[in-house]
Amino acid sequence: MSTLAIDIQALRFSWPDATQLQLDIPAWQVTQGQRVFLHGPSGSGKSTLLALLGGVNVAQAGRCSVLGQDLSRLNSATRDGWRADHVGFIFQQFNLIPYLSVLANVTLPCRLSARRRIRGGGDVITTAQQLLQRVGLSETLWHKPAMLLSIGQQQRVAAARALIGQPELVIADEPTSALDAARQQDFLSLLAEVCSEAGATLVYVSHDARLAAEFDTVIALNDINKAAHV
Amino acid sequence: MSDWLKLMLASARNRAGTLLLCWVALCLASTLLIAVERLRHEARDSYARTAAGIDLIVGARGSALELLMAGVFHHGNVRQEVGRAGIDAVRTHPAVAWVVPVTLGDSHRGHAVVGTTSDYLEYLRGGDGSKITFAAGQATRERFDAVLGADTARDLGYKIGDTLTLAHGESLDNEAKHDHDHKHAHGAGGDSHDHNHGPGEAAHAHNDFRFTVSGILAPSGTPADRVILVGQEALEALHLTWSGGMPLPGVQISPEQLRHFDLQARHVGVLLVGLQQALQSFRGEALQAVIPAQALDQLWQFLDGGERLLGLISKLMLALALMGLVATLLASLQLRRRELSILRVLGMRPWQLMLLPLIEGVALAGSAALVGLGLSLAGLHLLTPWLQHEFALTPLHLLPQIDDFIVLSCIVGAAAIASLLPGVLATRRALANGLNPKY
Ligand SMILES: Nc1ncnc2c1ncn2[C@@H]1O[C@H](COP(=O)(O)OP(=O)(O)OP(=O)(O)O)[C@@H](O)[C@H]1O
Ligand SMILES: [Mg+2]
Repeated sequence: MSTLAIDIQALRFSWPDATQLQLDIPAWQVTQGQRVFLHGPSGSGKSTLLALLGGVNVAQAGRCSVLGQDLSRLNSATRDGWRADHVGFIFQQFNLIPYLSVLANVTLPCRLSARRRIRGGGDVITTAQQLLQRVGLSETLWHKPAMLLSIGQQQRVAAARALIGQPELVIADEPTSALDAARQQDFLSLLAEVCSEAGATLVYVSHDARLAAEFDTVIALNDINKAAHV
Repeated sequence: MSDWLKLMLASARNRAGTLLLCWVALCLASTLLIAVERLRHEARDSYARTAAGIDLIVGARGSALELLMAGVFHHGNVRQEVGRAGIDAVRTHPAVAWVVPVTLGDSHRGHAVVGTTSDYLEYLRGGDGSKITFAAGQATRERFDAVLGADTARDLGYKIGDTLTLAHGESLDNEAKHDHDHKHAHGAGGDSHDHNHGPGEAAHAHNDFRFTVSGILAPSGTPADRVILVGQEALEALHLTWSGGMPLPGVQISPEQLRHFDLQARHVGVLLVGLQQALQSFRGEALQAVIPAQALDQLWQFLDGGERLLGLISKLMLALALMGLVATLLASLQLRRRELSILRVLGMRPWQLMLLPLIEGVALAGSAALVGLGLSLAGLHLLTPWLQHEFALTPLHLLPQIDDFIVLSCIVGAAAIASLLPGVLATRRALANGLNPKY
């Protein structure tokens, strides 16, 4: 149980045209299967850190090892492939491709990654339907274009998509901020539940520390980030 | 791969309206470009093909272009004819290998009548360089036999043994004015049909002599396709009772009386000449010799400016359509920014992102160019009769040619280059945005 899902050492990152370091993290570890709640004020660099964890951006210095893979050592094409294989994403909003059906949106990761297609087990469509049922999206909506759904429904679809093909890491960037308070808590519980069912590590980001109850670890970005200037 | 295709199609369907407009513009532009290029080639090709094999065109002093058009293309007529002294001088000249006389001036239902000799079919070549052959019947044997070109026979629906009369000058009459006796003419005398000119043109008709169709030529891709060939003696006979372009009133000659006349041609419109070697200087009757290739060159030089302008305009049109394509694709990037950043986060490679607008652009331009090729070929096909009538131009290639595919691939290539910009921008933006697409 002591395998590390995330292992960061002496990581430094700044955006190309910025004068200051955005992130300077001496050390941060997350063991596999943990549910981590990361919070911090707006603009503190939470999304930036998630982009590094997902291999969308790369740190200028230090080690950013995710699921045993040092991401800064991979070239960008390999990183894209690695991300497709191992990471599920949920964002604040605009998660879905508006003109594709709900089902087509959920199966998208399996189309971009052979590994997730195989891990999805059997028929991709069936798996997608099971996940949609699990997140409580009624069957009448499955074949509708994603743009016709409410924000709350869209976020459920996004959760199903993040989980299809059993990625080891699920990254959620304020997925509930567009929902009302009651639904926020519902969604959060659901996400935490399905992630622990799947054994996935969940890194959940929010500026609202009140949501942290369900999580194994709660951490403030400014506590691990020495470049906290905001 | 087919998943990709589905994704791209779904994405395109989502933006169908703008893409369709852009596609229509591309279709029109490529139709224009291909048609202009095609017409240019066909014109040069057709004219050069027809004039090939003729070394010289000899006629009375006048316009070289007129001699060329009348002699080679049987289009229009010359203002002055060559007299017998001139004919003999050319014929007996040591440098001359063969002479084909061409006399124009009469017509039958819109088809020019060419007074010539059997040498016409002997020495003039078909479009592919071979001799012109008969599809039916044979060369003229009797004095008043006529040989029809392939198109003439088809247009008029004439068969071997049908008879016809000629009209003086270019007959401008409409087909509708003629009563076709086809169905009713199957009399006891066999299946010969009479094709008379209607009473409307009696004043200018040569009704005293009937010609019998003795042969029909196979299509040759030359002006022979559209004319009626008769012996020059026959034309001479028709005009015995004529003077100054009008019939002499009250004078009639029956076919039996003809043997009292010398029917050797006294005047010929144009002499088409094949040379033994270079023709030496000739002093006698004021004649002019035209080298067909040279006259064609003059023609091209004369037309060059217009031709170039047309080419330039069609290329500009295409450039505009391609700019429209780029603008559409760039605008669509704005529409697709979410889609692209989602795809990137889900693990689509940058080069795959770049392919999305690129494939879209190439597919649009490629299909538009194919439609353009189809439209321009169809247009060429439909316009063939008009081109033949107005410009004595016979487009030979009604199927796609190598040249068309060069133009086609130029269009697609230009579209690919043009769509690279949106492609690169798509990738750049997706990379720079990180996880937060800028809305
Ligand atoms: N693609 C980018 N290019 C340049 N600078 C960026 C980019 N994305 C973010 N930044 C900058 O990095 C800083 C941190 O942004 P980030 O999005 O990580 O904050 P955050 O903690 O997620 O804020 P929020 O809670 O509002 O989402 C900001 O100052 C922002 O301007
Ligand atoms: Mg953020």
